[in-house]
Amino acid sequence: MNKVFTINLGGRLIPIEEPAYEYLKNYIEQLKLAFQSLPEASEIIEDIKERIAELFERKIKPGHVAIVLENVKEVEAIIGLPKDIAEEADLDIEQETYHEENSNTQQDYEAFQEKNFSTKKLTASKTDKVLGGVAGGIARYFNIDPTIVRVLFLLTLGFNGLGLLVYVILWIALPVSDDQPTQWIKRIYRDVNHKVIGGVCSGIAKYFNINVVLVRLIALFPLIIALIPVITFTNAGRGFSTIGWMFSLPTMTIIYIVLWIAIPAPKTSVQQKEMDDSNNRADNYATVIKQMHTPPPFEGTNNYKTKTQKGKSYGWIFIVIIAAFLIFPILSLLFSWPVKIGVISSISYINPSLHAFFFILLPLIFISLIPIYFIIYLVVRLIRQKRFESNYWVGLNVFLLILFLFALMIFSYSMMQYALFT
Amino acid sequence: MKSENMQRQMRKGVIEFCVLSILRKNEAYPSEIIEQMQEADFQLLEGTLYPLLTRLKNGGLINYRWEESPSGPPRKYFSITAEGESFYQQLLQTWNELNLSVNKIVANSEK
Repeated sequence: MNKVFTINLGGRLIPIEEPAYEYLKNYIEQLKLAFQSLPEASEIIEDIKERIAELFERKIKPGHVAIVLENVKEVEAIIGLPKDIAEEADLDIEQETYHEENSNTQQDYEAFQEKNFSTKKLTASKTDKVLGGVAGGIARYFNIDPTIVRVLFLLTLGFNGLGLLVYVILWIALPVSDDQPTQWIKRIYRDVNHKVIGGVCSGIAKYFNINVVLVRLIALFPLIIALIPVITFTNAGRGFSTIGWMFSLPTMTIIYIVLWIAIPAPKTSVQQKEMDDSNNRADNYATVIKQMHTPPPFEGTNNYKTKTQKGKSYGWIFIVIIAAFLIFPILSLLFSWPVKIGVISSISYINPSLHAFFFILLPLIFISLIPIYFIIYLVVRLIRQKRFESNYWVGLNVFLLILFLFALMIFSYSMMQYALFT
Repeated sequence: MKSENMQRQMRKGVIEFCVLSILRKNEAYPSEIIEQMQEADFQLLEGTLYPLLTRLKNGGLINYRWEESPSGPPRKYFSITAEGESFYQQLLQTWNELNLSVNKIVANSEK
């Protein structure tokens, strides 16, 4: 019985048996060697990989679990051996660089295994990055999905931006690893078949192999706690301290939305299987992320909409609750201002100018600049009609959106304070 | 001397001509070009197409743009440039002349 890997080949996830993978790896290496002297060689190789992946995808039919050696050989015959391609396309390449023998495959493979399993070093990832590749590097080190690390960093922003400081330090301190051909991780997916809103909670539960109810309770915890005074009609403002309200409640909601957007739903049966087999870690479903291509593109809004429409069964209840959460605290602030004045005056007394800078001027700068960025971004996108290729833009957009919401929240809160105070 | 080699030699001269011909009708992504050539029973190593497209692009005869694909990664849609069109016309003329001459010669020998 052969091991099965899932490789990201030209943007498609392909399950492939070990011998077939070795053969394919060698074949692509040969193509690289043969084409290396051509202009835009790497682009040609990328395009060929995409074609190979497309041909593979046609070969995976019900009953076929993974690509086997024979499939690779068939595809090799369709695409052609490097020397034949060179001949047919009339390429001017050095024939000496091309190795006919597969003798170095085993060596390569062992070297690659060694790199991944024995000599682990914490580095910033060059390929799997949104900002500086820190989260990608940490995720690779611990064999977990980078999304999780990124969300953890986001969470720590709530603690006076501690995570940001740590991130920047790591960004400076960690060396960038140039050569990371592969990476073995299990990816996290949204479980759209068992969803209430977006399948985020059940996806997380499957990833960590824990009970989904537990995850949902954690996600809803701030809502439940904060709802108590609202439901019982006791002093609505007392249930949440300012800081507690600002961080716990919207943070969970924002994190949910971020995860909803950031975590992909499984698109192929392979990904579905990868998600369902929560016990099989690197043994059976190792994800070999080659630096072949950026990860599958960010889902557009179309997909997003159809998904929400399908899952409307209970989702609306939660949406009403969340809406209630956003409205009630504002109302409570409006109506409980005599209590608040004491708190507010004590904050502003510490250092009025510093307070004004952090709570009014800085948020105001963000509030006014970020929409301008988005307008520019959208216009550029519209004009170029070309997808921004890297994950970088998606990450930046999500980050700026959160920053904007956060700044808006702080600003409106400060305005309210000052309106009440004066 | 292998006849296979010679056959390949005969085909290879006209691959670029075929590609330009396909692209001048409609823009297409590489897999579509391959399919159209296969439909016409033109034998071609698929790997040949990619360096060839790059060469045509660098020569200014074709251009490409990215477009999202309903399944899988985004695609490169290639289209012919004005320069490519005039280049194609020259090739077409040569092809027609060659076609005629070769057919005449062949027809003579078959008599």
